[in-house]
This record gives sequence, C-alpha cells and structure tokens, in this order.
Amino acid sequence: MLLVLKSVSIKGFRGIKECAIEDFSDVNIFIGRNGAGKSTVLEAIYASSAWLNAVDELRNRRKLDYIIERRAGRGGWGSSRNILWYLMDVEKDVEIKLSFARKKELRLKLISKDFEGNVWSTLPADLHYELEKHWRGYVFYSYFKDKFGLPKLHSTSKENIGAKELFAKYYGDAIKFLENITFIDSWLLSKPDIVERKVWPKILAKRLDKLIVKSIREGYRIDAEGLTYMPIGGVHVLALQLSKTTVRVDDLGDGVKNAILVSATILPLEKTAVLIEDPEIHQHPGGLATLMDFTMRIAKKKHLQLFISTHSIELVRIVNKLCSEIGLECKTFFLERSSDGIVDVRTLEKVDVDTLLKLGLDPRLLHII
Amino acid sequence: MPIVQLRPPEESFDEIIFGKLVKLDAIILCEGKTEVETVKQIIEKLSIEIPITIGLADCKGITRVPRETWAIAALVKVARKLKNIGVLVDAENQNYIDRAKSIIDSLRAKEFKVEDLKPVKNSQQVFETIICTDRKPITLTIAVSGITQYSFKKHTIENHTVKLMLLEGKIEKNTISKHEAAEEIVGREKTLEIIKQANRENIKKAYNHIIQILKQLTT
Repeated sequence: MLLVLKSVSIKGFRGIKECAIEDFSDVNIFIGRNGAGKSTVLEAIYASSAWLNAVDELRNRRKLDYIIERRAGRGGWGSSRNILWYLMDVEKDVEIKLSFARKKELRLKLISKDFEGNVWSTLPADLHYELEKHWRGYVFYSYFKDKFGLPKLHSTSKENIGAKELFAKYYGDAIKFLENITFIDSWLLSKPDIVERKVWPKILAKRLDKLIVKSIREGYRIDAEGLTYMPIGGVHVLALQLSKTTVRVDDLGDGVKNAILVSATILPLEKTAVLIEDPEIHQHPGGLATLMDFTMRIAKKKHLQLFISTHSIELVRIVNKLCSEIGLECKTFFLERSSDGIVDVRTLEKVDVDTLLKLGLDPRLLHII
Repeated sequence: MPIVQLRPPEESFDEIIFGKLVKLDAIILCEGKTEVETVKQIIEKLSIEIPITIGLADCKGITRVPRETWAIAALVKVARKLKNIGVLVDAENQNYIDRAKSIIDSLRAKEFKVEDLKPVKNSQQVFETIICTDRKPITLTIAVSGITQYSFKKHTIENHTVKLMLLEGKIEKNTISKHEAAEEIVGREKTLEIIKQANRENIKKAYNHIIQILKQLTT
C-alpha cells in the first residue's frame, strides 16, 4: 500500500486553534462529538490541495470558496473568507503542515492580506540554496500560480515563472497525491449530474460500471442488470437497469443512490487521498458494509489513502473488520475540542476499538474517560 | 451515580447520552460478571459511600490472554481523565503477589512504564503501582481474589463466599476439604443471596480485598 500522508498539523483554521494528528494509516477514521473538528480536518486536507490546484474540477469551483459555501456561508472568498480563520482573527495566518513519507514536509498558509485567496507554502530548507540563486528574499510559493511572495506578501513575483519543476521534483509523488485529493460529502452526493458529467465517462471508458452494478446487486439485493443513460426532459441522466424496468439514479432510494455515486467517484482515482464525510448517511448497516467493502477494496487496489469522518459505531466496526480481512492498516482517531479550540486526538488501533467495545465503552464516547 | 456498570453497553449509554455521566474517575476491570455483581452488592449492603464515579467493567468478552492486560493497555492509551484503574482478578493457582506481578510483567512487556508493586495497608491481597504515561500517571490497584489457605484447586472470588458461609455458620470447616472447587459449595447464583442475608461485619471480613480496593480508588 502506498502510504503518502503521514501527519497533519492545523493552526487557526475554522474552529480549530490547534490540532496535530500523527501516524496516519491506510484508512483513517475520525470520530468525536459534534463540533470536535472532524470535518474541519477533512477540509484542511482538502484546502491543502488548493496549493497545487485552486479549482475543484469536480465541483467546478475554487476549493476555498467551496469550504466557505458548503457550511451555508454566503458568498465566496471576497465576502465571507474570514470564517476560514479561527475566531475570524485574520491577523494570524492559517497554518497547515502536511508530512509525507520520506520526511518531506509541506508547510502551507492562508494569508488574509492575499485577496486572491491563494494557498502559499513556506520554502523548504532543502531548496534554499537552489532558490537563493534567483529568488533571494522570497519566503512563500504558490504552486498553482507558480509565483513567489515576500514576507507578509508585501510583494509577489510574476506568475508562471517556471519554478514548478523544482518543487515537483522535490515533493515527488506527493504532488500528484495532493493534486487529486477528492472530497466526497453530502453536497456532492446531492448532485448526481456532477458524477454523470465529470466521472461517468471515465467509468464507461474502462467498463468499471460492471463493478458498481455487481456491488449494488449483491449488497442491496436489487436485481440490477446495468447502468445506462436515460433521456428525460431533453437531457440524458444516469439510470439503473433492473430486470423489468429502468430507474433514474435520482429516483432510487438514497442509500443505493449514494452508494452508486460514492463508488463512481472513487473508481477512477489512483494514488491519492479520498476524504469521505459521514458515509453512513442513509445507509442501512448492510448497505454500509457493502459500500465500505467496495471502497476498501478499491482503496487497496488503486493505492488510495482514505480519511473518513463518522458518527457511526457500525462504520468503525465494519471498516476495522474489513481492513483486517483485506490487509489494510486502519486507525481511528477520537477528536475532542476544548473550549479554547485545542483539539486533543486519541489514536485507537483495531485492538483498542475491540477491547473498549467489549468492556462496554463506546469509542465515540471516550470524552468520559 | 457513584457506580456505573459498563456492560451491557446500554447500561452506561443512556447515562452518557442524556448527560448525567460526564466523567469516570476510575474503572474497575473485573474478571467476570460475578465480580461485577459482587462489588455492587457489597457497596449496597455495607452502604459504602463512593464520592467519585467508578465504572465497573466485565472483562469476560476479551479473549486475548491475559485479558486484563489488554484492557489496562487500551485504557491507559486512550484515557485522559481517568485517574485510577482497578483490577479484580482471581489468584487461580498463584499466590497473591505473583498473580499481581504477572499483570505488571505483561504491561512491561507491552512497553508500558510501570513502577514496582507496593502492598496496600490492611490487606495482603491488594497491591498498588503507578503507570507512567506521556500525559499523567495512572494509579493501578490490583485486588487478587481467592483464599490460598483453602485446599481448592483454583482460588477464585467464590472462595470468599465460602469464607462468608463459614463465618455465618452455614457450612462446617471440613466442608472445604471435601470439594475441589469453591463453586461446588457456593453455586454462582447463590453468592449475591448469601451476601444479601449476611452480617455486615462478616462481609467485611470475607471480602476485605474488595473493600480495600474501593478505599484505594476513592481516597
């Protein structure tokens, strides 16, 4: 299993003043009470990928704007951006540090003075010698814009200056890994048309649709025969072919619909991270087990590192069990945020989850001990 | 709510979800359901005041051996507020200190930093130590059940019920030598009934190790 992201450290982002999560696994589950910071951790990893590509190709919008909007924020970067800063204290830069295998670190910042809303990296010490030759005095770099910035962004270099190669060589596999990070949340699952337009052609090109149909048939006990496009109201929509009829994906039960959309979104990905928020929504435990089984097997085959937030103890149990069977390493992280925004993280391996459950201690309720 | 039974999970789940239970100060890991019920019964019968909140956990479902070590290890690793962990185990075929040491050795084998065991005042069957963690030390108190002077093949919590029956005059002393196991005399279901009907002083004498572990955890 290709394991790329080893740890994340977040400072001053949304509701998190400070949070450090170390020793990530192949599969990482975040649990904790409402407001503990589970989704914010996913958002921080997602925001990091904006250093490489500010635009989410799936949603067709800027990643930072999407983080603002998806939590009912009105407007985009220009009008509502302050909510990305802890307690809206825009004087302090948001800092997100990612650590990768082979001890490579990426230190990212959101700087309020930057009205363009770029994600900036500080320059790695290993590159200082190389950078000093042409870019003396600069301390920040935006890979997406390919430009440097001076301290406090008093001034920036021109764009597209040709420094990308240097950073791409330094960070190696981590670049592609970060660039392709995909965030699956309920907003995405409420838009089947996005999957139809952006993902489905890739699925059909390799006939990966057969895998989805097989999973749906076996896991949801539906006599599914295939997936097709169905003309409705002048457009073609994705539809599930049953033995006696064909049903638009939109008209399926939410559990099956979400399973199709999650599976389709994951299938074309490779060697990257997938962030999945509350995959248990609308899922019967049996359906959830099917969806997770599919997801874990694809993750193993396609070298995907998974980050899942959940409130479901069934999901914790199912994923831990599946990981043991499939040969993936799984860790569960219990997050607890104090009133001053510091997030305490407790790491549970499978044996800890199993032991606590057998003692009668629900791992989601660890705040009592 | 000084005592909370953790298994089945429904026992504690409602207490936590509806906000009555916000913190466990200590957890006693019990060898099995008999120990859980015995501890509860003794507290009730002797009206022992418990000023903190203690969770009673039945380790029976944990199949890894030694199971109490796995439970201690998991708790030490994930707990933040827990100050004390109690363990109530059977001596089986060992003497008290060796049985307690076997738990410490297992923890050390798992690379936990554990101080040497110290016997607790007023009991030869209760021992205390400190488990050092990166955050804060956790006190581990081990109470070993069984009365090794008895000729039973294994020394278990039921030994104490036999002692209580002797003190209560319900059996003759020579009854012990006629049986290989205390369970043959007591019968699991009888323990609680015997405690319920017994004299308070006799209970204190028969179950001194349980009273001492409760004292250690609450003071």
